[in-house]
Amino acid sequence: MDADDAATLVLPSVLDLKSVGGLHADLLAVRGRPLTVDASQVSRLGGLGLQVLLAARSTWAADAQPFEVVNPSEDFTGALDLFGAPHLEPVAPEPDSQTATDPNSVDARELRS
Amino acid sequence: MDPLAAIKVTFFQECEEQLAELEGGLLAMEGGDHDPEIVNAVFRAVHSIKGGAGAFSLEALVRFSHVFETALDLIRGGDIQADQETLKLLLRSADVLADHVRAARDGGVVDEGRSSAMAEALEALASGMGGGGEADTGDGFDDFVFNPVSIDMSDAPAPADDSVAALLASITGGDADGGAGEADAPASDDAPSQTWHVRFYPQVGLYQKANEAGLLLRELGRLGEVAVRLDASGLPLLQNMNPEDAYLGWSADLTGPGIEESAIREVFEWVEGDCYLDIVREGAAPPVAQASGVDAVGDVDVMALIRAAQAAEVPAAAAAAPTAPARASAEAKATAEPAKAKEAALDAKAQAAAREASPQTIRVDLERVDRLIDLVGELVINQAMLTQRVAECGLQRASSVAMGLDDLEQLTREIQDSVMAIRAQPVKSVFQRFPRLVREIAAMTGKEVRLIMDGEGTEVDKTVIERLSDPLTHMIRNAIDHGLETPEEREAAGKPREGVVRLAALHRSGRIVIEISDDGRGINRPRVKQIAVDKGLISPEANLSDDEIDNLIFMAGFSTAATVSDISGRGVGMDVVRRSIQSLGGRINISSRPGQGSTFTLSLPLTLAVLDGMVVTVAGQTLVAPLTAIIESLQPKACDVRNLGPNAQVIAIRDTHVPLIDIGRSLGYRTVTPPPTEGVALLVEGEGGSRAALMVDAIQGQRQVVIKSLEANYRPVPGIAAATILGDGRVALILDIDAVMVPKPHEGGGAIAAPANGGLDTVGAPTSLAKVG
Repeated sequence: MDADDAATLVLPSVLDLKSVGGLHADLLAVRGRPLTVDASQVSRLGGLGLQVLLAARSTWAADAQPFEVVNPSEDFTGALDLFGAPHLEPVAPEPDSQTATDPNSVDARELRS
Repeated sequence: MDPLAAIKVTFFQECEEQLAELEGGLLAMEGGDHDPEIVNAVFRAVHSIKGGAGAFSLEALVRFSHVFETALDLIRGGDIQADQETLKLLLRSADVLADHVRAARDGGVVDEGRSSAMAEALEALASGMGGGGEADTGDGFDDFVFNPVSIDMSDAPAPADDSVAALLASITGGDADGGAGEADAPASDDAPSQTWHVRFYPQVGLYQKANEAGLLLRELGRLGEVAVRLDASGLPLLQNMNPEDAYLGWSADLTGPGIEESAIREVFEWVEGDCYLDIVREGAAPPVAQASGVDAVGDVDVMALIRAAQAAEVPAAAAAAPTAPARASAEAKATAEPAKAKEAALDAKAQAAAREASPQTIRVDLERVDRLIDLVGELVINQAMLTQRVAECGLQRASSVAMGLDDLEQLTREIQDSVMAIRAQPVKSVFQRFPRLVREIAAMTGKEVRLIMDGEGTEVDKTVIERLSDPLTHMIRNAIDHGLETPEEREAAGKPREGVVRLAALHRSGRIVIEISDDGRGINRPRVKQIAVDKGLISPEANLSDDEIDNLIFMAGFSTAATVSDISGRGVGMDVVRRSIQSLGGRINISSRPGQGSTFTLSLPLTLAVLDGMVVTVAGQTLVAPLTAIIESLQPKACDVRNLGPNAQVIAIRDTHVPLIDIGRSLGYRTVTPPPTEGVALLVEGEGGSRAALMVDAIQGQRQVVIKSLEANYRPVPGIAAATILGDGRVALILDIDAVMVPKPHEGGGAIAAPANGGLDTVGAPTSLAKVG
């Protein structure tokens, strides 16, 4: 895996039942690479969209790859607030309670590589 | 019937009612009524449709009603001003919603373009209000707001308008029947502020049904201060997750004054089967039983629940019914509590609820009612036969048997009237579709039209109502397409740009009268006459009165539109209208004043099941003539009767001559007409006002008879409308006055028909216009 081969993903405007399948596939396709997620276009973030993004963040953290959300639209941050969700902004990977793996450990990195 | 299908049928019936309510409310708003109750009623109508549609997975319907509801909620909240433009949009949306309901019911397709255009317009309307006071949450939801919640107790589903929801809820052992019980609790909740702990875990079905967790949370936020905590502990890594499954859960602390559990439950009303929900009041005992009940059914589909509850269907419905009184008493109790600040408000609410409380109704299969009507008909006949037997026995009028029979007769009559009243329905059910029709035609023709309806509450037999729809539709189309001028023409004629079409119903002497009038240009008589001449319907020399010319439009194949438009003039003209009205035993009349408009008047019997008739004897046969057609009866004098050719006779009655028709001969009972002086003449008036004198041998008397269809039981017979069974058990035929008035071809005729006042020059061919050509 080439860690420098950073990927950027522009989130679609509406993240709901119809679009999460595609988003999930897109995310899996860029797995293992540093990811920048552009949330500038998001006008509606649903529960399904949120969980895909959270899972992606956990996954990237588990992979010890940078995961960054940039240019969040107001609707996007508004929805995160509504859901009581973290803003997904921290660049440094931050594991969820679910992810037992320490993201910064070399072991984890090697495990994934 | 499969119970699920039965519930679905009920749902669609209720949809119709909700749609009517919706349209009625929107029209009232358009008319300038700003009563918040109306806005609420409109909102509830869409809300209920959406709720039921969700339970039945009617996705297109859910989607559209969702968008619609959002816009309505913003209006309800005062975020959007309901101006005329908005209301026009809402009315058109109501039309599309009706299309969706019908498509879902009948399996048709909705005009997708129109539907999505309307949905976009609604979304634009909703987002146009710019977020306003709701900036704290994502504005992106403004076009997608979930069921706005009402804490008003009178808003809780009432069995009359929401019984599907109540039924579903009672099946799931959840909300609706709890509604009454919960109402007791708030009475003790006078504490100014309290905290509720709500735990909410969506199941996969919630998202699948196009519901959205975020919107529920947002709705929750409207109840009070809310602190939401996300529980992502169930979330797997990306590669292990199904993006459409539900992994997240939330717990929320809701704080605010006077929040009731029912209000919180209402937020989750439509997702109840699709989520785990736990609502606990701070300091209260651990989870209520209800929550665990929901938990147990958490991931079960609503449909499965309905099926599981098949056996419980009827009791469940029955259980749902009494909630209204229970709630009312709970509310009364609430007002009695010493919560003084609240008292006035609650009292007002109780009053509103009382005002709203519609009379209790049940739904009955029409077949059962018809069977009852049939049986009562038999009873009437049987009772008449019994009376006759008693009379034949020579008992005195004053004997106790005879008097008992009189009582029985009275009672029978009352039973019959009451049973007929069951079938009677307000004409509203057919009138309510016309505002939409008018809007659509107005849009198509580019005319400005206002529809005024009057007497929607007038009741008439259901069968009559059903069969009125097509003729009325046609006449309203005509009134707008042919009757009204374009706005420019109207201005030039010194009239307001907006044309008025008036639809009125009223009872008049045992019949229902429906008037369709417009304030348009009126009938263009020279043109009507010219067309009739061009089409060979009348001879160019015919000298016709204004009335006669007006009546030409009822002739078959007559269409005044120079070009056949989309709207009217498709070859099925007023003759079809006239025929269908006649087949209902009705009459149609037209009056028109050039430049001022036309009025069509329909007169119909209130019921098709009984008839007031004159029982007569002709050539040894007993016949019944409908009383409504008879103007008077007289004994002809020899000097009044004149021969007209070898076969026809006319009789002079008060300075006019009318054809004298021997019933015996026209029905083929005899070939030789007895001298008119030996019989009785019934002066009758047919459709369009034409008159004739019908010769019968004797009059037996007036009687109300039960109509039995001859067509259904035997076959159609010319000149006979139906049959009945008399007291002696014999079948008597009911005359079809109009058919009898038309002379048989060999008896001459062919010229233009003439109403009675036409004078001698035209009476030779007393035909009704509809039958010519």
